Amino acid sequence: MYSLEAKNLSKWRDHYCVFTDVSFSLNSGESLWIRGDNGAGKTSLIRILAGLSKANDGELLWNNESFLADNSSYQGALHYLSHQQTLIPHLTVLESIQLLFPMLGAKAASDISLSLNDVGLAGFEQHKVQNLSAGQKQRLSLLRLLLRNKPLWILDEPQSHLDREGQAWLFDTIERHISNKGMVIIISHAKDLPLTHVKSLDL
Amino acid sequence: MLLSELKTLYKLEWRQFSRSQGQWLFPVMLFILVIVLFTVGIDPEAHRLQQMAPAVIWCAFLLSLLLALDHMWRDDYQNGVLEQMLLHSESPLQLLLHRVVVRWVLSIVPLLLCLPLAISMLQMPMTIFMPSLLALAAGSFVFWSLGSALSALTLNDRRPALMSLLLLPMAVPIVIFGSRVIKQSAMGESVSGLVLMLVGLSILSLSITPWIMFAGMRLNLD
Repeated sequence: MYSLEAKNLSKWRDHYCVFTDVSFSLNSGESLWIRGDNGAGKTSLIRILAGLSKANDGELLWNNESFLADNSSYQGALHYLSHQQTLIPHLTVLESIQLLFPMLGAKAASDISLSLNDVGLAGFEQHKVQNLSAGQKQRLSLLRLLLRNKPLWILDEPQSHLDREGQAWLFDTIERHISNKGMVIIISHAKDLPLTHVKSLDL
Repeated sequence: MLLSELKTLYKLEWRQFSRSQGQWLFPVMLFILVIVLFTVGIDPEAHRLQQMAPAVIWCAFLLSLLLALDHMWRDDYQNGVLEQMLLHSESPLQLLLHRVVVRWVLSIVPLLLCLPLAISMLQMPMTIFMPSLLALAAGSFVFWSLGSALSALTLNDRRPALMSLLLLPMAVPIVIFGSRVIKQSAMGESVSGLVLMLVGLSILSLSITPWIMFAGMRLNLD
């Protein structure tokens, strides 16, 4: 069982307050949906949670212990997917899985064809990433989540570029992760998220 | 850093290098073109060329490396790969260190292969080849690691020449020692002390710059 708790987080950029006094708690088997208008500070918050940025004020607790950016147990427990697709255009799909993903916290896939089948990219092994559509790139990027089982997923607009079928697959995967006692923090502009046990946080 | 992780990093770098659509050729072409322009621009008397050759070789070499340094972090920073690598690596400092080394090797090997051509164009004796090669390798590593650190510090800066303008003044001692190696080896004098000095500087830069790179990246990612 894992728990993540944020207490009164605040972030300023120069003299501008991005957000202030943000608090929430999340346990295994739950998800948190971060909502807000453009510029409300959703990505800034999620980058603090991923350990890429520091809050100006407040506290983060991972399993009831204070979290610092170099906390290796916390860093080792999370998968952070940013809104960028984090792919190298010159590499093929296969090379991305074998060479790039292991450098980004995923394991090398033991059965690549099965993994590609999962994300609907079977048969695209030798295609260069630069020749894939935006939706296919997003699917490839999301494959990282499946290649190493980490309890906490932090996802910044993961359904962008995905078609209806892709979105169904994504939320099904998230739902399965939550039911396996995982935790998910997700930024989404959707009107509704097809997830059970979802808490929301408005910025 | 695990050996398997290192192997994957080296394979990834090699694959990117081999798929870079000939980008590695640009520094090589710049190096040769600068040498050519000097040889056609100066009075073709051998002794004039020979007098200027050490400085010309070093300036052309370092300017060519500047082109390669431009791509050190920026592409991976823009597509988000760099932040994910730092976030998920168990030893980010080692990761940065290895990346600096492998990119340096991939950048200088094509340039060093052109060295015999540069020596003959500048009408220098071939006896200077080995001392020059060693000095260029050691000196260029100092330049490369300082440039990588400055690139990391200026990742968010959109002024394209800033890194070059900050880096080139730091190259003064490298050019002084490096040119002396070529000059003295052409006169048949011993240059081992000077080469060792450059090797020492490269070891020093190797031990300091990864920390600066890491700090610079963290600052820019925040």
